[in-house]
Amino acid sequence: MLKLYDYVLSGSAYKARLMMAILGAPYEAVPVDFYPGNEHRQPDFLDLNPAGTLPVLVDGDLVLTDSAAILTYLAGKHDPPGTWLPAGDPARLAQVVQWLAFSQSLTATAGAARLHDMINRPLDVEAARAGAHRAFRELERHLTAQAFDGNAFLVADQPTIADIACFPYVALSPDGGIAHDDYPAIRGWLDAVKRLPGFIEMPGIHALHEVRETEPGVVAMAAEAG
Amino acid sequence: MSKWVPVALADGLKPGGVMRAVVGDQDLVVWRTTAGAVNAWNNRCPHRGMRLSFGFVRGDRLACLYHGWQFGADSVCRYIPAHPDLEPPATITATVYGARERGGLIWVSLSGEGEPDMPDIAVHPVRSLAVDVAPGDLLAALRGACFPVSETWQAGSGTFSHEDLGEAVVAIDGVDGDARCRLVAAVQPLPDGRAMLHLLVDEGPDDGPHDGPAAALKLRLSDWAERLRWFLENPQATSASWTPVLVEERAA
Amino acid sequence: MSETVEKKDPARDEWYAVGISADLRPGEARETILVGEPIDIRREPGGAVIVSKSDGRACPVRERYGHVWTSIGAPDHDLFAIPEADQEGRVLVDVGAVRVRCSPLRAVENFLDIAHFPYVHTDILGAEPQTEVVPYKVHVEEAGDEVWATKVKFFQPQAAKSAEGGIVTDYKYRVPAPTTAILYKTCPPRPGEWDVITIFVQPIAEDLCDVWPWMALFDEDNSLAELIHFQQMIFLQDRSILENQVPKLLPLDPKMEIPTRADMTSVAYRRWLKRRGMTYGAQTAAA
Repeated sequence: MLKLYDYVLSGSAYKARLMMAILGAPYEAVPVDFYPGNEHRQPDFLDLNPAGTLPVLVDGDLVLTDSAAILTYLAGKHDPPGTWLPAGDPARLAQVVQWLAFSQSLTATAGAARLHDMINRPLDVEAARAGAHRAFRELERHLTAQAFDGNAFLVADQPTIADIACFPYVALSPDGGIAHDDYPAIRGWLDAVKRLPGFIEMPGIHALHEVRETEPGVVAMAAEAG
Repeated sequence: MSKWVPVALADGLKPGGVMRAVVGDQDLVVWRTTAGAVNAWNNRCPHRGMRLSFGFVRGDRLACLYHGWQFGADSVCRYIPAHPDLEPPATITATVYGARERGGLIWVSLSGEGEPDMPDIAVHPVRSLAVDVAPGDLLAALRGACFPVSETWQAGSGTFSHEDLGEAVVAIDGVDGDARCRLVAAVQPLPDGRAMLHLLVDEGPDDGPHDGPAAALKLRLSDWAERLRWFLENPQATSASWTPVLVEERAA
Repeated sequence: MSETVEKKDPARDEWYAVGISADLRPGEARETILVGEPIDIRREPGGAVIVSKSDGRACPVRERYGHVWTSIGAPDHDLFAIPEADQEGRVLVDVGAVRVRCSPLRAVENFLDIAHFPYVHTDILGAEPQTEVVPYKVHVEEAGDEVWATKVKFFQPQAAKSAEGGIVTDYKYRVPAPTTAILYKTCPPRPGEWDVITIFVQPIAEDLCDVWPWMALFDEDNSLAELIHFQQMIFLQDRSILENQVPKLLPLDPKMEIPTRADMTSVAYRRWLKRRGMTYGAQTAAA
């Protein structure tokens, strides 16, 4: 069984949770006290991941400590049609890899600004926000071009792990004082990701609250509990 | 402030969509019912002050994200989930501002008086993009802009001209390949002294029936707008005002 | 800094949590801001905690409920009691500070609110269509001058980390100080007892605060990390709400924001603040 060393407020750990939820891959979560406990910098955790970063995905003997690598593995193993990781199409695959690399600039800018604003991590926050806006402009331009071709996601005409890699720190950026008001194409893309079957939220990312089809089930659950 | 301000491409706010706009000092929520009607209100739930732009649409109602209070298109509170059997007093309302769709744009007005300063022409949406310059500077640039930046646009005199369609709307007529092309650009002042450029295109009346411009044309126009923004935001990079020649030189 | 120390000021003459005790080891120090004033917190090699202002003057200190408490004024009362903190068998959980761009009073009021559970804590603390808030009791306890809400009930799909499936949860709320709220809720593994979940709010400015959640739970099944994650998840869901309430300051004028019966605790809290003259973080006149 997959084991995810997890932190509930980590956008990077959320990438793994979101991917597993969408792919329907069962896993065991191991919560790590990242804050305030700094458990990721303690010897027990460093034995597992000397880099001291979260998330970590463990599958048998395989230990993955990078979120892009985790997404690659999950999609490669748990998506039989192979659309989330288009390994058979070199051009598509290369574009996916390119956006995975781009996602690191989101973590370093929007993600860092969020940690600063949320748990007071030391940072030149204005520089981080400016960097986030530069990255958002790049993303906005690409998503605008994609929309002209009728595509809602980053690569070609399907959602891929690139979308999962880029989604969290863009969606969470208001937590770090970076609004989405300037970016209509990004807003449309965020909604498209939220509409993916199996989508789950994390704190700071709100559900679309579309009318539920399952309301009778909820009532039944209440009756049992009562 | 009685002016109507363009805040989005009409196409950019889908049925059931909710967005935020700031006009002057006023924070607004702009939203569309699932049936398509556009509304602009004060961006504040009268219950606990939550920005309604975080809310969600159910049918012809906007619900606040915080407690789910639902407001009808007339802004009257219709439903308070904490009290499902209560008929909310009609005095619970959001503050309503003017909202219109015209010329492919969504316009709002704090006073609601008059009409947007733009003819209701049929145009196709391209995109909106924020520009870090003052609205007046963006308008001035648009009034002097042409399309030499892509090889398919015919540069040179006589192939383009400008027409003010309103106080904040400029039409630029040019040629795309062999076809006439009219670009329509509307400028929205943003609260921090910047501007939003809303870009639309009309392929011209002679093209006959069509389903809208090709993706390739939209992409050229989008790239053109990116380039316009670059020159406006990097004035030190240009020796004089932005001219087609200069663009060609810098691109080389 | 203006010199208004002599004047009675309810915001200054109050106790506030300013750090986690366990995080401040001997010889360590941290700087923070309390009610607009920079303060320095350090633990002496001998173990005592010293809090001082920028002019070197010492502030009173308490170490209780996992946190360091201090005041930049002169409190005429001791820190409130949480008797459950000393009860055998409880897990005491320091959750850590979360910074929020909001009024400290808005943070407390949100904590006292249940009607938002289905929309902000969807499928965890609440879910449509079980949105009704049935009538509950609110009173101001004269002895300690505290706001209490009792007999609160709400349907919750996953009320606590230790709860499996949905249950109707019983709640009590207690406001022992203007920026502290305590929640007592049904304790699934131990019927008859109440789990204690608090927020200690440190006002930095009128529109900025550090919120220190803290818990005293009966829970033998979950790791500390799991308990911390659960509470951080809940509070971070509230954070984007709190940062988007307009105006940022809590309106004490009843005409500014429309309450319903579900908001009785909030109404009592706002009145109580007004009566105490606690206006730091509040808007007293209609804008």
